Amino acid sequence: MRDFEIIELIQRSTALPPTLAAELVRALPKLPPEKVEWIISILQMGQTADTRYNEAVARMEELLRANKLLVDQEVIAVSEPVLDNIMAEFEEELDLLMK
Amino acid sequence: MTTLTLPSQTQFSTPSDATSLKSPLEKLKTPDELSTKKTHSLTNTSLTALADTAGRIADVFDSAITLPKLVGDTIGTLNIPMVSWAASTVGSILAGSLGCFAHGLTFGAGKWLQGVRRWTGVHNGVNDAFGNTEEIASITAKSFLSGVKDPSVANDLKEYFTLHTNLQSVSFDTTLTDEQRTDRQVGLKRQLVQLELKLSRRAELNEFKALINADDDPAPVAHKKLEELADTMASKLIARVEDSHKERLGFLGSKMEGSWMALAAQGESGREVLRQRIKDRLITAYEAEQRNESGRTAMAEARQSLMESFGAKSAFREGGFYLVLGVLIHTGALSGFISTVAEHSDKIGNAITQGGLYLWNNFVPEAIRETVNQGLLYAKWAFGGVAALYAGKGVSFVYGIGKGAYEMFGPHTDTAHTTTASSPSDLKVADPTHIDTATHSAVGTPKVDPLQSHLDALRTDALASPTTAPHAADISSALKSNIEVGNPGAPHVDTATLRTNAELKVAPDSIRADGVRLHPDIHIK
Repeated sequence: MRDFEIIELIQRSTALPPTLAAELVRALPKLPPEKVEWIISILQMGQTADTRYNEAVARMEELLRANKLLVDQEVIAVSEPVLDNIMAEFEEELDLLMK
Repeated sequence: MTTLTLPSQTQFSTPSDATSLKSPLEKLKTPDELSTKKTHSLTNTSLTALADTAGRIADVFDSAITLPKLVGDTIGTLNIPMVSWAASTVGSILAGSLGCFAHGLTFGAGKWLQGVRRWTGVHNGVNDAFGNTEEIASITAKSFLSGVKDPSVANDLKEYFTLHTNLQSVSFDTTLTDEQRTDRQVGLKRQLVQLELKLSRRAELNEFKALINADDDPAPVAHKKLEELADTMASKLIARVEDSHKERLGFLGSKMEGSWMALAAQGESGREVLRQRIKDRLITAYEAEQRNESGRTAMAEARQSLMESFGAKSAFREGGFYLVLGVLIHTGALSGFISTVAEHSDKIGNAITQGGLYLWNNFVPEAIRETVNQGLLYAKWAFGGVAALYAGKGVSFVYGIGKGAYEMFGPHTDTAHTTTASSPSDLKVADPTHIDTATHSAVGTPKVDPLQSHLDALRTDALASPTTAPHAADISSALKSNIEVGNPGAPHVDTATLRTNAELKVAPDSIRADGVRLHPDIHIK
C-alpha cells in the first residue's frame, strides 16, 4: 500500500488531519511488520464501517424522499401530500377566519 | 390530490419567511421553489445533518416504543461501577426527551436524541455484530440496583422488580385458570402497591419504575407526544395563514393591526375550535400513514441499518484515532507533547478506570478481549484511549494514552526495534491509582504498582550505575516472555499477579540463568 493510500485510509477511518496521518505513515516503518499489518487492518475495518454508514444514509434519504417525508432536507412527520390535503381541506375555513 | 392553493403560498417565498421560520410546514414554498429544493443534491454536511435527522420520525413518534428500549439498552450495557454515571445519563435522556416534545413538527433533534442515537447506535452495532443474548431488562434492573446506596432500599427495589416480573409472567402463564391468574395478579399488585407506599419518598422508586415499566405501555406516551406536536403544528398553520393575510393587505396591514387584534380577540373561540379540528386531522393523518405497513417496515429497516453502521463507524473512528496516536507516541513523534501535558495531568481518578472498564466490556468484541488477554496488549490500549476520551477529563486522558501506549509498544514488547517510547515513570504522572491491566478493573484503594516500582528502581539503578545496572527492557522482556510462553527460566509473573505485591516473592540477588540481574522483588522459580 502506498503512502498516499495509507493517508487516505487514515483520514477516512479516523478523521485525523492530514498532518497527523502523514506522521503515522512516517512512523510505520519503525514498527514490526505484524503490527503494521494489524494497524492497517483496523483502519480498513474503519473504512468499511464508514462506507456502510454512507450507504445507510443514502438508503434512508432515498426512503424519506420516496415517502415524501423529506422537505428541504428536513424530515417531517406527515408527508407533504398529506399536508397539502389537510391545508386544502381547511382552506375555506381558514379564509373565513381571516375575514 | 388537491394542491396547496392558499393565497399565502406565494408569500412564503419572502426572505423573512424563508429565514425566520424553521418548520417544514412554514418552509413550504411555491411548488417551483419546493421542486428546486427537492432536487438539491446533498453535500457531505447535509448528509450528516440528514443522518442526524433521519431517525426523527421513528425516534419521535415511535420513541415511546424505542426510547425505553434505548434507555434499557444503554443502561443494560453498563457495569456496576458505571451505574451512577448511567443513572445520570438516563436522567438526562429522559429529561431531554420531555423537552423535545415541544420542538414542533421537525422536532429539532435535541441533544438527548443525539446522545441516545450515539450510544444505542454503538451498542446495537456491536451487539448486532457479536450477538449479545443477555436479558437486557434483567441487566438493567441489576445495574440500577447496584447503584442504590441504601441497602434496604435496594432490597425493596429488588423485591419490587421480582414482583413486577412475576406479574408480567402471570399474564402469559397458560397453566393458570383465569380465576387463578386474577387472584395471583391481585396479590402481586397489592404487594407492589405496598412497596410503592413504603418507598414513596424515595426518588429511586420513580427512576426504577421508569426503567422497568418502560416497555409496558408506550401508547399513551406516544399519543401525548403526537397530540403536542399536532397542536403546535395546527397553531403554526393558523398563524401562518394569519400572517399571510396581514401581509397581503400590504400597507393596510399596519392600519389594520389594532382592529386585527380586536377581531382576533372576538374570534378567539372560533380559531380555537378550528385549531382543534386541524390538530385532530393531523393526528388522523399521521396514524393513517403509520398504517402503511410496507413503508413503515422499510423505514424501520433503514433506520436500524443507519444506527448500526453509525455505531460501527463511530467505534472504529475513535478506536482508530487513538490507535494512530499510540503509534505516534511509541515512535516518539509526540513524546514532547505527552511529557508536557502529562506533567499537568496529576489526577486521572477513577474516570479513566471506569471509562475503560465500561468501554472495554461493552465496545471491545469478545474475540479481541480474548486475544488481548493472550498477550496482544496493544488492542487494550486503543480502547483504553477511547475510554479516556469518554471520561471527559481533559488532558488527563493523555495518561491513559501514555500508559496504554507503553503497554502496547513499550520496550518490553519490542526489544528488537529501536523505540523511544516513554515509560509511565518518564511521563512523570504522579497518580498512584491502581489499574489492573488484566481486567481493567479499579480496585479502589490506590496501590503501589509493583511493575512501576520495579521499573522506577531499575531506572534509578541505571542512572546510578549505568554500566552494571540491568536495563528495564531486558527485565520487561523477560517478564513478558514468561507471560506469553511460560519460560521456566524467567521470573514468575503473570497478568493476574503482575500488580499484586502479595503474589511476588522476595528473592534478593536473584540472577537469571542468562546472567541478567533481576530486581529483588522478582523471584526465580
